[in-house]
Amino acid sequence: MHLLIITQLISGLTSGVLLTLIAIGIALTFGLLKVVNLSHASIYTLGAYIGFTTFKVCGNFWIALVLGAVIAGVVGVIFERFCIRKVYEYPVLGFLITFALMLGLTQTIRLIWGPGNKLAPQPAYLMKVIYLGFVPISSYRLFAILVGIVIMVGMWFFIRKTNIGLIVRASLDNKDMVNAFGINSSLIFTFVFGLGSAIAGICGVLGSPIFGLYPDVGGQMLVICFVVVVMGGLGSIRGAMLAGPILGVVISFTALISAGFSNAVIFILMAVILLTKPMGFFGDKL
Amino acid sequence: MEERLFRKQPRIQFLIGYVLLAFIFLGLPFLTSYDVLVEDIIVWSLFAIGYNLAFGFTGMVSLGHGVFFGVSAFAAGILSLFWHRNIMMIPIGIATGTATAFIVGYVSLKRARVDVHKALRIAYLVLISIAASYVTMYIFLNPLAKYSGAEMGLLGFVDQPLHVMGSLQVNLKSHDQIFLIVGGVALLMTAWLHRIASSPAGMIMRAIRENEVRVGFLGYNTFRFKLLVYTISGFVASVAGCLYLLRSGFISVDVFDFNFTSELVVICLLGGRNAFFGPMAGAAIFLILKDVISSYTASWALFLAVVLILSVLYLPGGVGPMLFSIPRVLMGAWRKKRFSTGETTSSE
Repeated sequence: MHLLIITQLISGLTSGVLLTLIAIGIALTFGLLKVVNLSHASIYTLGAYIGFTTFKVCGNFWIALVLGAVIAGVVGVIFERFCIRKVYEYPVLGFLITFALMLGLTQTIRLIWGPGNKLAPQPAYLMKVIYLGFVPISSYRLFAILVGIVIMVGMWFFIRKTNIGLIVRASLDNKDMVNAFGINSSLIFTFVFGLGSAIAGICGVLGSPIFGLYPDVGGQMLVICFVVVVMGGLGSIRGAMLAGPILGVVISFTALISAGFSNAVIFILMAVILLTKPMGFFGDKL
Repeated sequence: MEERLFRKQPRIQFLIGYVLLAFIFLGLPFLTSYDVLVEDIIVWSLFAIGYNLAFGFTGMVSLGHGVFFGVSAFAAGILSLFWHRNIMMIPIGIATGTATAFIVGYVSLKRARVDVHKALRIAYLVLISIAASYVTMYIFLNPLAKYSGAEMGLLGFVDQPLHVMGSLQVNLKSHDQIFLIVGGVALLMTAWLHRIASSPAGMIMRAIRENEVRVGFLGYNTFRFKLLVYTISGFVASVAGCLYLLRSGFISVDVFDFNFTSELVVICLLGGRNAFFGPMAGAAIFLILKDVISSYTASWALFLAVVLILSVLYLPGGVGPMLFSIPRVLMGAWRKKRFSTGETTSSE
């Protein structure tokens, strides 16, 4: 029984870390551009499929990670430059256009790779089982947690310690003032959007052995990520970092009963949080 | 986009429009062999017009209307299959759907007050309606699986007639009766919604869409008003759900998926969300396109995405107003021509 609890806790933490990383992209886009970016989901899926193909062709997991990130980032930048840019500050239209992008990209993926399930890439050296005392842990999950934490620390460093991060934080607070200083904020937005997409791509490659690999996987992840973003406070990165692991653990425990039940529970949880603390954990800025 | 709120509609145009509508709703299904498509368009245009009251007029994006549609259809279907085969089960189903709409609307609008950023308010509505879609899907797939038929959907609704009173009964397999019921109810509901939309209440809806804070300053309780509109549109969705059940005799849990409702958003946007009858044109275009394109290729979604992106970027008003202005343009051209020919004859 204890064993089951610990195993579920660790698998919950793994998915929580990955959820957090995807949610950070959504939170940043929402905070900066006031657009609920639904197309993030399909970018995650794209990253996963790119990783799958790369791993099949060249067999190196690291190249798969990098290529997944790069292509996802490029597609994100294209989306931002040609479509989403036009509908800033129009939440309804932004919502619709990102929805259309998600639909289109998912369908394109279905056309290229086929609608069925694929066996996700997993390097041989990460398929071992590590014993932590008496608890068996899949080394891949440990690896995913580690990579996730590295990316999160990198994000924190980027947002807190660099000049671009300073501009991003200032834009979260007051965009017009940043423009008034003569900073080309639209370039920064494109960069941030691309960065979020690249992270989603890495998550896609990392997460496909855990969450599965099929064209609609992104949509499944997206709704959970939205719960993370809302729980942490829309636009707040700290909040997402706190809410992601909590939600991952809740999902992994409730999923013992059934998948539908776990979905129902997390959404009831979200509704309760919205009613009692409408700004989420840290979302007092907006 | 532009709306002249105080323009008096000429009574003759109004009459012609409604006669045309009555012909489409009540006569057309009998005359064509595409009766399934026409009935679909009728149900969907009622659904879309009700949805547009919340989406286009008041500016509330909800992905939960499939839930109300499904809950009312399932409630009516399950009650009439397992309890009592009476036509009264349909009003009960509609009431259940409307109550669901009230609860979902209350939860999602209660905290989204005017001091919250507009984007956040929309996000609340969207997310809580997605939450509602997952919760109802779970309820109908797990605890109620015995009644709802789980993934199979509700089967066997059409097998026996529905009793009305005494020996009077509705035969669900008879096309004539169903066409008349669906067309008549849809026509009445459309007229009622048109009345609402052109009343002062309809004007406040549009005012809330434009600037909710100022409407609050005028002394209106915007929360209660939005909840009212949301519940009305949920009621229309419930009616549409029951009509759909009557028409097809089948309902499955797919309607709870928020992708189902997103088609509704596309219809409203395509038809024009600022015009009352826009969604009706949108529903016709959308369903006909879907019918045609699905018969050629499987990637209907890709096509849908392209249409949606192009219409958001280049045609935010939708094609509905354009379509409705064709008679006016033709009239204008005809008058001009008559005028100019008159002039030439006089000069001769």
